[in-house]
Amino acid sequence: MNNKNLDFNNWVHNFGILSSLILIILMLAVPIVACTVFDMWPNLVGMIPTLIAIAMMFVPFCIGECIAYPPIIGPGSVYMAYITGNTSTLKLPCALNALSIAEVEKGTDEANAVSLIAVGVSSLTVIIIIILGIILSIPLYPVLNNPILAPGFGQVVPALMGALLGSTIVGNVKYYVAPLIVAIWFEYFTSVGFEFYMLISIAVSMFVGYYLNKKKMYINEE
Amino acid sequence: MEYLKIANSSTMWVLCALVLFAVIIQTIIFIKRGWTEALKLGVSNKTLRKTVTASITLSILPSLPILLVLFVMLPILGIPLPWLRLSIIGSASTELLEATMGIEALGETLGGNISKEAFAAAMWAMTIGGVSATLLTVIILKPISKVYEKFSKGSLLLLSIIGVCSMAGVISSLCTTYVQGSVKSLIVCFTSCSIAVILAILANKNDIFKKISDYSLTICLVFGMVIAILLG
Repeated sequence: MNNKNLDFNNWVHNFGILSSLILIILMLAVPIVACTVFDMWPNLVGMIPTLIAIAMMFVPFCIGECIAYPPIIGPGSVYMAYITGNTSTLKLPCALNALSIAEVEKGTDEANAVSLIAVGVSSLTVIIIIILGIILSIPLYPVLNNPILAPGFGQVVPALMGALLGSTIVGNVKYYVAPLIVAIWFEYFTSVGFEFYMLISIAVSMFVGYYLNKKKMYINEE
Repeated sequence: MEYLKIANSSTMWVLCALVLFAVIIQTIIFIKRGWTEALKLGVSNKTLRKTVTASITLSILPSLPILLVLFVMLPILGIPLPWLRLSIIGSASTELLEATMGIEALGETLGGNISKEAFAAAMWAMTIGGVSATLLTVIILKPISKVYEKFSKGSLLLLSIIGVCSMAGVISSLCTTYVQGSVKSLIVCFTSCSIAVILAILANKNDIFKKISDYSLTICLVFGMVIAILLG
């Protein structure tokens, strides 16, 4: 198995960076063109503290996710997920599900290619659902706001996270014990933010993983 | 309300549609290259088609709460801007927060009869939120990936350990943070987790359950939501 397909990896980064930069320009063009056409420029200088606060809100999450996600879903999927959003609640579950269906090892080129497909398809699905939601907003609104169904929609994310934990923990319990203890301790007994303790959980898990497989690695090297 | 005429104008529709069109093109190119590469590496067409079906199925239910936020935003910010923002970047909660922060920076309140400048401020705030995260990813993702590549030095075992341990750390943290402070969330999470474990064990022993396992996340998601509805 070739895990050093440099051609594919380079393409992923080159296309990911170039297309993201083009999209950033297009995204910025929306307010620039609209403000110019409708003569509605707000006092941007006065807004600077707010805009900085908004930008800073994402920095820790972004750094944390850029460290945590590439070994799982591959860099290409991360570029795409950062454009289309909902990384942890939609893209990660779809990619992990696809990896399990394709029975490929995480971190390999096969896994990165399969993740690209899963994350892309999930992005397109969301785009289509939102278009349908706009078209069908009048009949859909009462259904989604139905007092009987509403608690179900309110718990989509915990249900999804439980499903993810259950489907990935089988056969990997030894890797989950330490990060679960670390995450629970930080969440309930400290004021450390999620984006920081996630990185600590990963580090602890990797340390445990390395320790548990030390012997096997030596055998492989020999 | 003057700003709503602007918010729903053909100019806004065209601008937002253009960005969305570019996002769709980027996504299709990524999918196409991923497909070619996967085939080259020995993953079958049949398996890839299965991953497509499973990804579509799994994406539907978690997208529905996004529609709820969309319906809240439509009367306040018009149709094109929420359509764009929730289709891309679009975490429902952050988009509303950014819009509120932008409008309040001009001393007005979201939901009231805001000025066209306040609408523009909301647009800027939402755009900067999305652009800053994407820009940071563009800057740091490649160097971080290279560190992983160097560290694993092509060892399949090490790559696999890094992947599994990262996954364990991320999922443990996500589960903990999303159920924090709510007994109902904890019960829902525990139920769907238990069903997923049972399905995964059965899939290893029985061919029928192996076929079902492609949709196990969706099945567990539905079970979890039913439990939430029963709990009220």
